[in-house]
Amino acid sequence: MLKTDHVLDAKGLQCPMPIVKTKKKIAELNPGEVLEVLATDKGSKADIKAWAENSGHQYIGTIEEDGVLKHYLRKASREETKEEIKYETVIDNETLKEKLAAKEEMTIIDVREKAEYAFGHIPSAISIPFGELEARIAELKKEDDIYVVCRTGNRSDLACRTLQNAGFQKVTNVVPGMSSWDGEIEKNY
Amino acid sequence: MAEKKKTNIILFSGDYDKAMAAFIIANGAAAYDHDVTVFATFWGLNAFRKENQVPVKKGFLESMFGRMMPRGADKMGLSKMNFAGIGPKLIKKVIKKHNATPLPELIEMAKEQEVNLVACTMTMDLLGLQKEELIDGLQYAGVATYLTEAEEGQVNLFI
Repeated sequence: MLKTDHVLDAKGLQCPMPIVKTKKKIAELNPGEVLEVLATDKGSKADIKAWAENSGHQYIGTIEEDGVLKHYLRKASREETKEEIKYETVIDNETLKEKLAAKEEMTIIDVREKAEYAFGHIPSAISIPFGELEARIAELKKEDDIYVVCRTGNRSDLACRTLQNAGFQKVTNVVPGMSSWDGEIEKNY
Repeated sequence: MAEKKKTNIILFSGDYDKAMAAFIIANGAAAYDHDVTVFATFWGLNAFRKENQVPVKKGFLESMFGRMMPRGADKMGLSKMNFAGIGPKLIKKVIKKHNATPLPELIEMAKEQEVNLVACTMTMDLLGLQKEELIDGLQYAGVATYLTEAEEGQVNLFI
């Protein structure tokens, strides 16, 4: 079971109801929150994906379980659309891949939401959604080499600054991040 | 934010099935954040008729039309397999069985989603339909209104 902020039950509903309901529901969410849509309409997979891409929300993925389609969407957040990376220590995807191949000792933190992480993450990455970072900061060691990754480099930028303010010295932001990651990935759902 | 896209649908047909397709697209487009307008003309106007008889003054021909045309979306026939009214009963059963949304509810939902429902005034005159006989929340306009919207529309359909 994936933990999400909101669930919409659209089981049994036919086209166009799943997207009509999804549109209504997502308007209630805060930017960056994840919505799980339960549907039985077979066309909803293509429809929800197309709808999300058209409306600027992020389509994370779909799981099929006992004839029920579970679609995961993340509401678009305004700050992510503008590319504003402030934290200076960055590394690109390629260099991180080389470091992984060389088996360098490091900690990779994936600050995306749980559902995004589940649909594909770097195998050794630990999931700490950005919203939980401050509460879970004790799990990290200040002397470790920490690489922070998200989808596009924005949330990880914020996370890097949070860690820096908490006294972490060796923190690097991975840009752009998972949106163009072509290295090894692991899925768990 | 980018300018909203526009979907315009001309509902010419007064068949239950065709109107259903029109309103499924209208509701889908509204969920797609389009500005949606449904222009009802000719037989399509019947989808916007009130179910009950409204006492209005009419000439003989207009009264005949009024009596012969379906009163409201739920009374409309099918474009195929109508079988003198048995077809619509069957399709409503199938709609229920598959949990699809019947036409009157699709129209209600379109109103909720702020779809613009426009009645063509010229054909209202031809068919002898008056504003009092049509559901609330309609706009009344003609071809120029449609063209203004259509010019800027990304999706334009004639059903």
